[in-house]
Amino acid sequence: MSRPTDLHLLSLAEAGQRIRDRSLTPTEFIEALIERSRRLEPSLKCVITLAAEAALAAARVAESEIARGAWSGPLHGVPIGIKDSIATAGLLTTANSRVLADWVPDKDAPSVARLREGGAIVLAKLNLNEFAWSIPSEGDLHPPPRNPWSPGHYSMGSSSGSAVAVASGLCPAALGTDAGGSIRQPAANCGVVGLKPTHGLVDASDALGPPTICEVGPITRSVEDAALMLGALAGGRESYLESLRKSPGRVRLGIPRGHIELAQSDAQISAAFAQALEVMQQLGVEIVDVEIEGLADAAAADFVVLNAEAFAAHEEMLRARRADYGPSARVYHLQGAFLSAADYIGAMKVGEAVRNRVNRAFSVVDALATPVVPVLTAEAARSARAQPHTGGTAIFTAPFNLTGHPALALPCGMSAEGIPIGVQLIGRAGGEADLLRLAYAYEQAAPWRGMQPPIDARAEPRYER
Amino acid sequence: MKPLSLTRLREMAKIRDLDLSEQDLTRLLPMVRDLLAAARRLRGIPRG
Repeated sequence: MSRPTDLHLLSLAEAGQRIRDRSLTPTEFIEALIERSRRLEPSLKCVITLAAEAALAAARVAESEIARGAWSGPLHGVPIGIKDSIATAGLLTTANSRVLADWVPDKDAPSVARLREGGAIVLAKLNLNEFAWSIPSEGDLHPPPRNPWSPGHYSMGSSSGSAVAVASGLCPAALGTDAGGSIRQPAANCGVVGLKPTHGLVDASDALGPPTICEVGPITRSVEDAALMLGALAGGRESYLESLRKSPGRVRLGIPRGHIELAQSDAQISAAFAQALEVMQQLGVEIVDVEIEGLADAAAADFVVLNAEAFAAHEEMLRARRADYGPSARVYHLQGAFLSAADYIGAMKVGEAVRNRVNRAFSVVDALATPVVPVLTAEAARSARAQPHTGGTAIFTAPFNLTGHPALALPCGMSAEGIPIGVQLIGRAGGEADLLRLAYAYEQAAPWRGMQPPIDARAEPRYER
Repeated sequence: MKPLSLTRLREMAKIRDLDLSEQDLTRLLPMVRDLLAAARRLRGIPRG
């Protein structure tokens, strides 16, 4: 039996199993996480709304359902967090903007509805860059989340609150959105797992993202939990969890070496990536260099599409309530007004061409691997030199938003400054089962499983080495 | 192509019926300049 103080360490899968066998009640679990959230939130700043009363009421309902044998699946009674740009019925959804400071949606986004259908309980709405497209600042409606591994640094975004909350044990899993790397980059930066699904696999509507390139996906502390969440988000069409139990078999992993070198990553990131490939080789994975022309162009094109669609979505509100946008979100969302239809179509055509090339690469390899982000800190990613307004450090992540391929970030190292480093694995469109299987095999073999940031009293950072 | 000037950006904003402050225009100028340069470059890339 876990001590109440350790309940935050339970994975989604473990918590679901213990709730099912009734060695843990949803109420006990949620009460422990509420206490932890209230204690740590003043320093982490990752929670916008803690739905304590509603979550405890839902926990009591789940308990009675499970007691009478109406168990609805592995998420039944398990608390989760939701990025605050994703609509939640009856629960404040601000997108961290004064424009939506009082918005309470009357229905759930489809992604949230799917998780609730599976029995999950929404415990918290989580912080983000304003409307997921801005440079955060202390003047935001909710100031930016801190990286729990290094509280002197902000977390990378835009799903910063989701990654911080999961890494810090405030909830075992959370939803984020990703239009250029906004799930994968904060996940890597906080030492957790982040999955951007294939375009269209998970209904990403009512999440305030640019519709052509934005996906809703899970942020978790393990690949197993990502598989569990994806299964529910995708409507149970496929059991991704079952696929993890199978051996990945003979895998050829493609490394787009030229593209990686173009990014001139921090030396510690390059070293961690090389170590990750060594672990893969020890697993029997064959490492193959591949040349995919135009990946950097696809990253740039993704942000042309993002800017055009962001302005289109916000135009009416920008005209009516411009002063309610933060200074950064205002200009970030206005940039797209100056693009032409030809610019937008040109960017989409780049995406189509690169998608075809990536698909051709998948005729000779089973997955691709890159670092997640070429810099170590949020501050470096947001510096003017990095040109964040045109995509900047999203050179590894954004190409696969435009091409629509699934991509997953998971821990692969730790910098000398104590900030986690991630590796990105990219799969065939619709190939999440294979992608998760490879990620799971790597996770089991690598020393970074179960990383815990040093946020509890006298705690040292912990990971299996 | 000439780099985008503040005067030209102000004209473009007016054509789009965007009533922007000088402060917003000044902040937008380098961003829009970079974005348009990227977009124009991408339009010139041969497909294959």
